[in-house]
Amino acid sequence: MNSLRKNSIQMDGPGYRVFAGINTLFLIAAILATAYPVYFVIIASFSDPRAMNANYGLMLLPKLPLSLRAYRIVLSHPLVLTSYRNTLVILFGGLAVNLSLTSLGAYFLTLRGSMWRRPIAMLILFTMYFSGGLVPMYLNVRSLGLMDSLWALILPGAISTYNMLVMRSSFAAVPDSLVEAAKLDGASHFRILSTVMLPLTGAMMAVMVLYYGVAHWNAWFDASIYIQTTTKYPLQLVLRQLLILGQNADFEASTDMGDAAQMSELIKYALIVVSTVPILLLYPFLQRFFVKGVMVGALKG
Amino acid sequence: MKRQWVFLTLLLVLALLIAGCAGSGTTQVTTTGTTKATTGTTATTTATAAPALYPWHEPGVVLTLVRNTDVDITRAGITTYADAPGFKAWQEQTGISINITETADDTALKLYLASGDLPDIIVATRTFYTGGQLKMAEDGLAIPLTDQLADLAPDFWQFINADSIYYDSLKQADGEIYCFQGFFLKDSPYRSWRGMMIRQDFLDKVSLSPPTTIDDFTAVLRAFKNTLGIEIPLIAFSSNFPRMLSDGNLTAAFGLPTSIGYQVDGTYHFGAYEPAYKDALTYLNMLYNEGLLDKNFAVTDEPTAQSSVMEGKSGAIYAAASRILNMTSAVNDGVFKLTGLPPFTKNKGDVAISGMTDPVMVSTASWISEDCKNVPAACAFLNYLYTDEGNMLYNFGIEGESYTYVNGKPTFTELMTKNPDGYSLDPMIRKYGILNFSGVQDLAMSAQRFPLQEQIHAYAAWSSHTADKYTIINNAILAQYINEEATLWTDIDTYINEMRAKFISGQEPLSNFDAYLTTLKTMGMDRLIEIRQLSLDAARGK
Amino acid sequence: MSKQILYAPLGRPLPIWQRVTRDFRQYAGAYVMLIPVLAFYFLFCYKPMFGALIAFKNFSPRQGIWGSAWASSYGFGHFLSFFRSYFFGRLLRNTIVISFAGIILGFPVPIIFALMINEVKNRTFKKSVQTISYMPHFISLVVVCAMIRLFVAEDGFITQIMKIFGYPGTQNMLNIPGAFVPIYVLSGIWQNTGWNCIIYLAALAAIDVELYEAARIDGANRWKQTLHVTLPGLAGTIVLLLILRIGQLMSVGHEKIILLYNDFIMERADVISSYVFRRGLVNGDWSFSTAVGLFNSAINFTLVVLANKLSNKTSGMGIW
Repeated sequence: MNSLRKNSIQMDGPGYRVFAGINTLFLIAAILATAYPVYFVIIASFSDPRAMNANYGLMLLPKLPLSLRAYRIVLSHPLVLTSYRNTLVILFGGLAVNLSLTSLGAYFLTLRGSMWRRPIAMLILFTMYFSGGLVPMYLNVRSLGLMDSLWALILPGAISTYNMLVMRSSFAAVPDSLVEAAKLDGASHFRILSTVMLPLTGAMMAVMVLYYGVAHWNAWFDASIYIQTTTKYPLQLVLRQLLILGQNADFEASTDMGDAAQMSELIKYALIVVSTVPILLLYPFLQRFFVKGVMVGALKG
Repeated sequence: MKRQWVFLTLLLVLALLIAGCAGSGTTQVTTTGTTKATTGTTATTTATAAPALYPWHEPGVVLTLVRNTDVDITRAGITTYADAPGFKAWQEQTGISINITETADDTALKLYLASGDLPDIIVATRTFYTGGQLKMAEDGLAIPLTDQLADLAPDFWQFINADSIYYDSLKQADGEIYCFQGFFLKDSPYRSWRGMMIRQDFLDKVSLSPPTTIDDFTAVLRAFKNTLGIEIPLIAFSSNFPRMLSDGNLTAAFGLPTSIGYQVDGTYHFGAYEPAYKDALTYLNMLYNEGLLDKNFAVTDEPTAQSSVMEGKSGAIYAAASRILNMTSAVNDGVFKLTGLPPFTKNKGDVAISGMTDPVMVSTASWISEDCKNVPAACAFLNYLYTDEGNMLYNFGIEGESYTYVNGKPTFTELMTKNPDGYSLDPMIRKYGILNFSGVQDLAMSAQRFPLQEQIHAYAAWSSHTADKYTIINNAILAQYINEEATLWTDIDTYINEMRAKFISGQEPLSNFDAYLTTLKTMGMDRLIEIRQLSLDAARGK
Repeated sequence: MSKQILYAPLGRPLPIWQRVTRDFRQYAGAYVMLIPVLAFYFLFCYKPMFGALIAFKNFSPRQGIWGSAWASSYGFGHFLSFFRSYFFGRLLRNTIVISFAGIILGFPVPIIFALMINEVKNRTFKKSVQTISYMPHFISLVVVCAMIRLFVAEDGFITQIMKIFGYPGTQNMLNIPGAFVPIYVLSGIWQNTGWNCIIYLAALAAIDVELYEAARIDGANRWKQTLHVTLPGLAGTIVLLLILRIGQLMSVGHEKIILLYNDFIMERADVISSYVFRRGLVNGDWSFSTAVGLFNSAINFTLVVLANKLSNKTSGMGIW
C-alpha cells in the first residue's frame, strides 16, 4: 500500500511541492501559537514565586531559581491523591457505560426500516434541547437513591445525544453491501453491530472515547451537588475548590502569611499541569486508531 | 406514512409525560411541618436548674448539622470538619455530639435543603438563601428564637443585648431573631480591611506626609508623576476600582457616604443618584485626564496592579490589607513600605464621614430548623461559643496545643505560627479554633494574624470614620418585592457601571450628568428606591 | 437498509397491528438492544422534564415543584420580566452576533486545518501537530483570558503586530467595544481548533482508500482528489456538525464572557447568559434562569428542525 502512495506523490508536479512546503510552514506556525499557552503554564509552575509576583507579563523562560514548591503543596494536599483515584474509577466505569449504551442507540437509529425509529429519534432529539433543569434533575437523582455515590456521576450522563448522533452518522456510512452480506449469513442485529459496524468505525470510536473521556475527566459540577464525602470528590472538584480558595484571599480579614499568598498564582499553574497532563496523554494513545484501510479486504474477503 | 410517525411520536410523548408525572409524584417533597419546637416546658427546667449548661444534662444527645466544606482546613492537613480538633473539642466541652454533613458549595447546600428531612442545625453564609431569613422561616429552615434565647442561650443573649447595633443587625422585618450570628466587636478595626495605600518610600522621596484630605492626595499624586516620573500614580484592579466609590473612602471627601445605598436617619438614599456623586466623578475624571489614574482601570487584573506597585510603576493602590503582606514580602528589599491612608476628608482635621467597613456581622450564621427535636440542646450547643471558654476555643483553639498564656495574654504556639509541616496560620486557626462558625472575633486573636506593623496601622487608619451612622444594617428586601427589585436592580446596576466608566474616562462629558439622572428615572430608579425604603422601614420595625 | 414491505399482496397497506407485529419480528433483536437506551432517556431525561414547570412558578425548593406558587401574569411573569429588561434587545443582539460570527469564522477553520494535517506525509510531524494543537483546549479559561488580556494590552504581543499594519494601538483592546467580538471569536479559534478538528481527522480516516486509488487511476492529481474524494467523504460529517452547531446559536456560555468583559464594552459583550448569571447572583433565582433557559431552548430547537429540513431538501443529508 505504501508503494501505491509513493507513486501518487511522484505523479504530482512541482506545484504540489510548493503547496506542501507552505502547508508545513503554516502548520509549524500553528504549533508555535498553540503551544505557547501550554509552555507558559508549565514554566510558570516551576518559577520562583517571588519573581513571578514581582514581574508579571509575557514570559519566555521560567523565572529562576526554579522551585518545586507549588507541586509539593498541591500533591501533598490530602485530597489530591484520593481524588485522582476517584476520577479514574469514574473514567473507566463511565466509559464502559457510555460506549455500550451509545453504540446500541446509534445502531438503532440507522435502521431505516423500523417503524418506531422516527418517533424515537424525535423524542431523543427533543431531550437535547429541553430538560427539566437543575432542581428536578437533583430531586430525581436523590429519589433514585444515588446520593453520595459515584454512580450519580456516571448514570445521569450515560448518553450524550450529540455523541450518539455523530456515532450514528459513522455507522450509517458503513456500506450497505457489508451489512446485507452479514444478514445473509444470518447475523442478528447484535452481531451486525459487533462484527460489522464496530470494527469498521475504529476512528470514530476513538473520538467517542476522547469526547466522553475528557468530559468525565473535567467534570466537577455534578460531584459538587451529589457527593458529600470529601474523600469521594473527583479531581477537578478538589482543584477547583483550591483555586477559588486562592482567589478568595480578598474576603474577610484573611491574611495568609506572605508565602501562601505568593504561592496562589503558582499553585494555580501547578494545578493545571497536575490535572491535565494525564488526559493529554490520552489522545496520542488514541491516534493509532486514526488509520485508513481497516476496510481494505473486507469486501474482497 | 408521514402521519403515522407523527401520531406514534405524540403517543409516546404523552405516555412518557404521564409516566414521568406519576413517577415523580412520589418523589415530591412533603414538608414536615408537624414537629414544632418545644418551648415552654424545657425552658422552665433550665431556669430552675443552676445555670451550668455544660456539660449538657442529657447524656448521648446527637444533633445533625450541615454546612459547606471548608476548603481552608484542607490546607492544614485534614479532609473534613469531623476530624478537626477544634470541632471535636467543641463537642466534648458541651457534651453534645454532632453528626456533620458537608456540601461542596452554596448551590449544593440549597439543593440539599430542598427535600427530605432537614438537619437540626444549618450553618451557612447569612445571605445564602434566596428570599432571606424570612423565607427560610417560611420554608421551615429556621425557627424564631427571640423568646427562647434568654433561657436557652443566655450568653449569646447577653452579648447581643450589650449594644443595640448587634440586636438590630439580627432582627428581621417581623421583629424576630432567627439565627446565631458571628460578630466582630463593634469597635474592631478589623472591620475595615480595604482602603487606599501608598508607597511610603516614595512619599519620603518627595518629602510629603501621608495625605488625609483629598487635595493633599491630589498633590501627592502629582508629585509622584512630575517629580518622580511615576507612570501610573494611582492604580487598582478592575474589581476594586469601583469600590473606591462604593466603600466610601473617596466619596467621603465630597460629603457622600457611598455610591450605593445608605440611610440618613431612616431615609433611604442611593449614592449614584445623588448630586454629590457628580463631584466624585469629576474628581476621578480630572485624575484620568492628568494621567494620574490608570487608563486601563476597567481591565487591569490583580497581578498586573500589584506588580505595577512593586516595580515602581505606581505609587498608590486601593486594595485589601492582606496585599500589604503579599507585596512587602515579595519585594523584600527593606525599602518598599506601604502605608494605609484613612478615608479622605475635605478639610484637614476632619474625621471622614464614611469608609470601608464590614457589617458587625461576620458572614457565617447558624439556624435551627423546624425538624429539630431537641431545640434546647441545639441552642446550648450554639451558645457555647459565646461563653468565655467557648470564646477562647473559637478564637484560639485548644490550650496547650494551639495557644498558651504568655504574660497573661493568649498567644499562638509555634505549632501554629511556624508549623513543621509548612501549614500556614490561617488554616491552622480554622482547624484548631472554630472560626467558620458563629462566635465573636477576639481582637487579641486578630492582632496575631498580622505580622507586619504596617498592616495593623492600616486597619487603624481605615477605620477612622463614622460610617456606622449611614450604613444600612439589614439589607433584606420584603418578600413581595423581590422579583420586581431584582429586575430593576440588574439593569440599573449595569447602566450605572457603564456610565461611571464613561464619565471618568471622558467618553461621556460630565455635562450630561443630568441626562444620566433622567435615564435612571426612566429605568425606574424611583420605584427601586421606594421598594428599598419600604424594606428599610420594615427592618427597623416601623 | 431496505425498507420493509408493509403492503399486502393486494397492494393495500396492512392493518396497523399486523404491521406492528411484523415490524417487531424483523427488528426484535434491535428493540431488545434498545431497552437500556430507552430506560436511560426515560429515567434521566423525561422523568425530570416536567420540572421545567418551575419557569412558570415562583419556585421555592422547600415547597417543591407542585407546592410553589404560580408566577404572575398567568405564569409568564419571569418571561415578561426578562423581555422587559431595559437591555433585552442588546442582550439578544449580542448573543446572536457572537454566535453567528463564531459559526462563520470558527466552523470552517477546523475543517481546513484537518485537511492540511491530512496532507502531511511525515508521520512524526503529523502526530506532533495533532497533539500540540489540541492542548490549549485543556487550559482553563481563567488562564487563557489572563493571557488574552496580556496579549491585547498596549504593549501586548498582538497589539505590536497590529501596529506594524498601521493600527494606532494606544490602549488595551479590551477597552474598545468594537474589538470584543473579534477578540472573543479569534481567541476561541486559537484555543479550540486543534480539538475541533479531531472529529474531521477521524472522518478522513474512514474514507475508503480504494476511492483515492480509483481517482488516481483516472489521472486526478492531489487537488482533484481532494475535491472529488475527500470533500464528499467529509460532507456527511460536516452537514451534521453544522446543523448541530446552528442548534447552539443561543447558547453563548457565560464563563468566558464574564472573564473578559468590563464596563467599557458591555454594549457589545453582555449576552443573555452573563445577564442571567448577574441576576442569579443577586437572587439565586431558579425560576428566572429556568424561564430564560426555556426561551433559549425553544429557539435553538426550532433552528435545528428548520436547518435539518433545509439540509434535507437541498443536499439530501440531515441529522437522520
